[in-house]
Amino acid sequence: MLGYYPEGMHYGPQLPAEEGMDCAVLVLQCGGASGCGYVNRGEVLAGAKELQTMGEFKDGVFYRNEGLPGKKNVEGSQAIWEHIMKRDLEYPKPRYAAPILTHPDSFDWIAVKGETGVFKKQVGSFTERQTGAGFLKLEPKAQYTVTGNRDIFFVVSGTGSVETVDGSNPYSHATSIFLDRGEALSITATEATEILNFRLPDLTGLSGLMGIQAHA
Amino acid sequence: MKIVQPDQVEFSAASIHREGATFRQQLFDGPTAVDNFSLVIARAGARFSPRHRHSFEQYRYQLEGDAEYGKTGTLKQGMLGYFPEGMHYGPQTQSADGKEQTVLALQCGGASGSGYVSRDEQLACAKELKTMGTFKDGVFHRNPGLPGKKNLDGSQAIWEHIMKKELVYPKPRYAAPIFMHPENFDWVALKDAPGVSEKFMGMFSERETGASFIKIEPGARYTPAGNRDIYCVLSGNGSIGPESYQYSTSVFLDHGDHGDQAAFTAQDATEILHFSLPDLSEIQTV
Repeated sequence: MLGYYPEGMHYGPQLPAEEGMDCAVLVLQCGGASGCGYVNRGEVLAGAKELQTMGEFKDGVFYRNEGLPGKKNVEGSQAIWEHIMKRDLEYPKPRYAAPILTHPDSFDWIAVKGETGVFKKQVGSFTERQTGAGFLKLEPKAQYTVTGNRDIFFVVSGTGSVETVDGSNPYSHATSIFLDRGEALSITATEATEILNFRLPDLTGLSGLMGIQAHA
Repeated sequence: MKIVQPDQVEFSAASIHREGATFRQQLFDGPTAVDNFSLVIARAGARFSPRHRHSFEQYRYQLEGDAEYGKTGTLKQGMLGYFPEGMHYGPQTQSADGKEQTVLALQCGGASGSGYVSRDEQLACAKELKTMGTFKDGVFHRNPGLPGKKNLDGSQAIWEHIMKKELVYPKPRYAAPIFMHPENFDWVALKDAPGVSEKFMGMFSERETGASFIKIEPGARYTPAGNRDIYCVLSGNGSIGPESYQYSTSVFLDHGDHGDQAAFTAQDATEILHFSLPDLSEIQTV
């Protein structure tokens, strides 16, 4: 399954997996349509370490030590954001009533016009900034050239090669590619290939709540 | 291209197979087909329909009042809901406390190619089925001794009676209907169309069923290129091609409908709800 968790939307609680039932998930996190932005994971980790000197994280909540200025008990992720940004976090109003969970296996493959052995499954496109997700399938020996628009491609299965302006490289499970606006990518499948494609929201012209400009 | 003006269509009694008094203004409907669709404004006081699903897709925009869908949630005034094919929802309960609710409902054949039976045909069929049993609480109970399933969802009974085969529901693509809060989306200015902005709500399924709102400032002009699109005016006045538009004027633009005939020119500030029907061009039969 594939889940879309819109900004400002509550979800969970997420419970630990049953014993012996490991799970692995591919996670994309990005600044959303409101312009609230996204703090990089390195900075989040550094922020958390700093906060650990001022209190403790327990069950996902940050408890500040007595006598220190600031909110006493704050959700851990919010505490880190506020510590880094030095102000209160204002959550965007949710655009959807709930996270959107999808069953990709219930979607049909649609042949890409003008291509041989190339298929797409568009799973959805969300918000006014059109964050999107879909899958791409290439039969062995099929070739597909795509022009990026802040797209992420993650190889779910299969092998082959990808060619960009930087040259040709082999791909296999978990090979990940970011394609910026106007960049071209040519994919040639050796084996049957399935690729997960995320389209990042178009934040052009949005300075937003972080007070910083989106990447042009 | 088709344009329907609100004064061309009277409100009339709606379905027989659901409980309660619902009146509908049928803006669009067509003959049963893979790519058929209907657009109605429906008013209901007391209403009940059991938890059920359909083999077609729906968008429901809540014009007035709130619609209660049980554990699926509440569609409050101003909210837009996308109900994918094959997905259970409800039960829908509306008490008889004098609170009417009005919804703009689009129903259309979905990505699976299961098609959509015309509303007129549904109504005629429900009348026929009433000679063979009763509809109660949204369920059709067939008279003893008659061939066919005894008790089944009213809408399913109608489909199976018309199509003369068992209804196989498409597997749901989403885990739940998708309810949206349009007021929490921002307007984004459309490139090359001064005074026109859009709120894109979402695009769903591999056949790309979509919904958005269009805002046109007074004096501005919006020229969409049709690709099986429906536009319903929510507020404002102006002209669409040679005709005037007002609240609930509804326009269907087929593939290739574009240019001056399909251009909206706003006299005063205008808001339009826009639906993109799914691209079913490669699916031929129900």
